[in-house]
Amino acid sequence: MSAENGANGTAAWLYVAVAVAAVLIGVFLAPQVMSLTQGASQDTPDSVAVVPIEGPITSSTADQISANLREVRRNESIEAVVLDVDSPGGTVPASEALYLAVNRTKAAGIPVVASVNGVGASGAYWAMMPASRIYVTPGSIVGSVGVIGSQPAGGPGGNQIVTGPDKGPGGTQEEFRDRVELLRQQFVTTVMNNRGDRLDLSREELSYAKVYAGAVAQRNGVADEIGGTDAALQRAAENADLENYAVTRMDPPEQPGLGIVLGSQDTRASNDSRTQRVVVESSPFDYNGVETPHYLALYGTPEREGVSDDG
Amino acid sequence: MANVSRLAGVFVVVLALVLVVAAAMPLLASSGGDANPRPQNPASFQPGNIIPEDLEQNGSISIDASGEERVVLIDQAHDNDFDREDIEPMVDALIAQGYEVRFHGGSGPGGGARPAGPGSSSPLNESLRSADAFVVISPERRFSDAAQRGLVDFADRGGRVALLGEPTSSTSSVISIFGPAPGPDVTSQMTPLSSRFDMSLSTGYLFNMFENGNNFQNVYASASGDGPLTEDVDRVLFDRATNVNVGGDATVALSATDRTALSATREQEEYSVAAVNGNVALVGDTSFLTPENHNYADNEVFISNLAEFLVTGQKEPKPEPDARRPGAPPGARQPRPPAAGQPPTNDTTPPTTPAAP
Repeated sequence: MSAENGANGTAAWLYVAVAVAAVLIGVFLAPQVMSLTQGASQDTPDSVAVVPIEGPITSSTADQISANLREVRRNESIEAVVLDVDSPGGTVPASEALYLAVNRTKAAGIPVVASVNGVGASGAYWAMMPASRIYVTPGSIVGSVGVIGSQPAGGPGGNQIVTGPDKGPGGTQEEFRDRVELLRQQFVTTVMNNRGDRLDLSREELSYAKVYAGAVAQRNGVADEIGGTDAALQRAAENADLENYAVTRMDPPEQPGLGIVLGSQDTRASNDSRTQRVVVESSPFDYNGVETPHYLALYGTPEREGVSDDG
Repeated sequence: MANVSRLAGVFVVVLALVLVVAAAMPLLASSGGDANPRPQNPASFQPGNIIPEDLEQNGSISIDASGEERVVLIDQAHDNDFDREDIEPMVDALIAQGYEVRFHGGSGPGGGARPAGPGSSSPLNESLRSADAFVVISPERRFSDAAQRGLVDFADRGGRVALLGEPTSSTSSVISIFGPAPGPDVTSQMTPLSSRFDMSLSTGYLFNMFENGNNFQNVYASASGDGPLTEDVDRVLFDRATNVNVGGDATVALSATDRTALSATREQEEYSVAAVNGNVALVGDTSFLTPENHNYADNEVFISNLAEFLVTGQKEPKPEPDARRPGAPPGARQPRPPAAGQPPTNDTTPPTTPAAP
């Protein structure tokens, strides 16, 4: 009986010893296996990601673009990023969130290059500030370093009762002015900190909030190089020390199903030359049915209301 | 033998488990959190770098005048672009010192200018007869020739006139329901009047990108020479002012600070914001009078000086007209004598006894 027990104990120890040996060997082999699966999970070992920044920058689009950049940082096969920009900007909070997302990507050691195809103005220009180089085409538009603030009419209306004099508009006109000035300072300081050594413009000149054609912007330092997205890709790959690379194009942000019109447009003409109708659909920056203050880093003047002067 | 095969089975199973876990880890990690979740702190996000200068607001309007009985008439008959609350600080200060403030025209009874027929005196001139000072703020309707002649005569006889105007070019500062919208262009109707006193307003606005009151259109102006408007004034802050052009005997009272530019030309030059010609003052802004702006910088001192300027004139009574005015056609009506009751004004403040000096 005792001899049988001894044999069983020896067998148990043997099993344990074999299992431990298997674990040790497994740990030894694990890195090789991990690298195999890591490689299998990647499209290519080295690639440059193209992250589109298109259309008005809202909290929704900024979230989508930030998610793309987060994916860039996670995916070890992506070695560099090109921001493919065609946007007039958008709200200040969304623009600065996008700036932070780009900044974080650069801080992660991933080279970031921007390529403007069309418009890269105001909030979109703000977002591309961390990029090491900004590529523009001669006819693209960049700049507009400034902020637009708009405030609904103050005071309660109709049968509203508010609990404080500033509950509706959020503050006095003077406080509103100072808030807009703070945002201007933030925007201008961001540009000066990132590109001050390359700009031929002073803070005050920058604060005019002009836009520049790409050919001019390349000369005054608002942009760096003339070239398209391919040139930007090449630069990004060089910055990442890539000789052979694949290009991974991320999905552009989806605009939330709204007719977005920046600026007026005539959609109908009649025999009466004085008759015109300007229809502007829902704004991407607004809440339904609520007038709120807006702080926009936007090139252009947004319109919201349907305007008709045909009568 | 059976034990050996069992041991081999255990070895294979455990090793496979370890390798499967190892193989799955990269796949699991790729859907995990941010690879670089470090918080960021860019310099441009530091409050100390971006919070604008806090503009001090203190002081109050103090009118130091003789206390003689004076009537200040404020024009509302020419589509003047202001509300009464906009000028409340100065009006309150005048009334507190015992001066009478009347409004000419407007929407109340007797308001609105009536067309003056040949030989008739304009309603304004009738109102001016009982006034010692006249204030015109942003008129959007032209003064008739008769009214202009009446004002020149009023000033020649010692009546004090203050003309205050705004830029008239389109502005992006109009707050619409959604955002800034270009305001309509309004043709200035001040210059046809002020030019009779060798002064005029430009149409664009002044701005300063280097030194301003937290907005490029909030420009500072400093005293220029010694005059009735500039005593104890160092700097005045104007919210969207325009340039005042002077000629003849007019002299500059306030000049915009260095590197101020005019929107129409973008040129940095010396620009004036206030000027005086005898009994007439012209200021290229109205917003400095508002309750919100009246005590920035030395605004309250400037407003005090302006109020004192209005109530310290020595107007001579109008000489009795001859039986027939020179040049008047035969049969033309003579100017009407002052009405037995009130002149065609409305909403007058009750006549008060001037306070003791």
